[in-house]
Amino acid sequence: MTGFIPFLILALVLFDRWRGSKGATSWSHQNIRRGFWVVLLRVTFVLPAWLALPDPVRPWLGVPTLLLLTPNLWLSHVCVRLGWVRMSYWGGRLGLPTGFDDPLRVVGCYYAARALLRRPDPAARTWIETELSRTKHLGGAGVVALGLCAWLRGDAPRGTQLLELADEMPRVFVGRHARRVARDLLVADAAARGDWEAVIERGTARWPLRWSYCVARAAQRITGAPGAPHRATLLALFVLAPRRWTTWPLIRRALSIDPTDAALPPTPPSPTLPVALGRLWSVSSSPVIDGIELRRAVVDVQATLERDEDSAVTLERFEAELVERICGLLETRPVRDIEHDPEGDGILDRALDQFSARRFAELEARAKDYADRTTPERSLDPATEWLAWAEFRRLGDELCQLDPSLDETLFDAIFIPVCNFAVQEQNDLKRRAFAWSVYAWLNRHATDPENQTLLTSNVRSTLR
Amino acid sequence: MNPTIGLAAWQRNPFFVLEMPISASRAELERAGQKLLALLELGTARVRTCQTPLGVIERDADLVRAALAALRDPETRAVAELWATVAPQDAPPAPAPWVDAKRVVGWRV
Repeated sequence: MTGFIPFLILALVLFDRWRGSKGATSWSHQNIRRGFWVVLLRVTFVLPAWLALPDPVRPWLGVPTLLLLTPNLWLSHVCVRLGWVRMSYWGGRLGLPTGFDDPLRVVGCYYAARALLRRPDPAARTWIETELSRTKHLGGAGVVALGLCAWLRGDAPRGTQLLELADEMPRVFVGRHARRVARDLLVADAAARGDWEAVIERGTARWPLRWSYCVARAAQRITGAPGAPHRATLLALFVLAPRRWTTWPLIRRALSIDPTDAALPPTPPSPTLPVALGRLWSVSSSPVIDGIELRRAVVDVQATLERDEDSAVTLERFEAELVERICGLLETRPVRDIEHDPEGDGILDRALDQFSARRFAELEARAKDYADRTTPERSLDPATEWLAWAEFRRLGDELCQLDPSLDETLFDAIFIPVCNFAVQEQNDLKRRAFAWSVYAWLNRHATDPENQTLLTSNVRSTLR
Repeated sequence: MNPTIGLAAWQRNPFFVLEMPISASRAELERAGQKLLALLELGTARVRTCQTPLGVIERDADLVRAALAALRDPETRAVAELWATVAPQDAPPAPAPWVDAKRVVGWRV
């Protein structure tokens, strides 16, 4: 056995050199090489060392040896499950778990943050955030850890945005393990809020994962969405997914629904002002605002006002307050399926104009901040940069969703400063994952072919 | 919900805060407001929250004073009357959330 090991090592080294010479770009050299060498270390040193122990001692060191051979397993299934924050942190730092593109300190923070979900503790959360701010580089696992800390801090929008960032990264930057954690949490959070559209969107995203995909398909049956699976299909997905025992109530609920029975709600008759206002309140109280229902409710209010109200001054002030309040609503709640008519003069269109103008100004100010920080010395620590970028992206996505006509204008206003900042982060500070995220987002909003070519090239450069 | 933005400001309509109908006279509104201020100063727990047609809100002396000041202006009162004539409707039917979802993925909230 031990005589075979040198040949094994030589074969593995030659294989690794051959892969490197081929310029493999689908996997990070650092990622695969670290995992490769760590596994090699375990197989060629740890295991033989344990086998070489005398017989009376060997059984006693069996468990510690097993822990050294399989750190990913015991970190996830023991330390995290039991909520051992410090143990998770040090196990992640010293146990060399594989599948991460992050420094070991960040890997420790990642496991510690996951353990913190089981046993929330503000002091431990602050400690993890401090550790994250001390590192020079954050990959996918680091962004997941930041997102978990944001959630535990009570900043759900920021936490959600960070986990979405991590979930969208390519496999070079985030391993399957961290991606699964991010996606499962996003799907669970959306399901707990009743945002089934988000569950479907996230669960059926690229690189499907068993549990989140199963829940998303169940959500399709529950909501009657197009493409809802047959009962047999859903059961098969359920059998293949983990957490079957605790997920069964949702599956049972989905199986009991026939998606073809979903009926359209009846069109309500012309309401009075109190009824129209009541409908507006109930629509605005949903966790996710239905844009179509919101427009219908606002139109009803406007129609009843014009019908019933005599005083032009009162009407004008009321409409101004309604516009202001709808603006505030748009800033605090996600809205789906809303159509903005830039030429329209209805109350909702005026509110959307006002919201768009404010949001655009805010994005321009943030882009100017990026333009002002053009030297590496003015760059902030990775954790703060990721938090700032997550907020920037959220603001931009919400604006473009509400008013797609602003896509091109927004891009023209922010492209140069934001792209230059990302280039600086990549070239000077080697923050490839961050740069990738910026280029990929800009590329989604670019319309000019020249810009698209440039950004695609930049994206590829981060993956080498 | 942030009480100063969005439709949350609707919950703090002066008539809701004073728990008075829109037909109340100016004198009745003033009396109701002064009574609430006195009770709040005494620290009566019952008046620290109030039930409105749009849910329960927290109430303090500043809110009551702001409500009284708003209703003293005729135009502001007219607008507040419009906002207060809301008849709560049932929410549009939507699939119920999965309340245990976070616990399933190991999130102890």
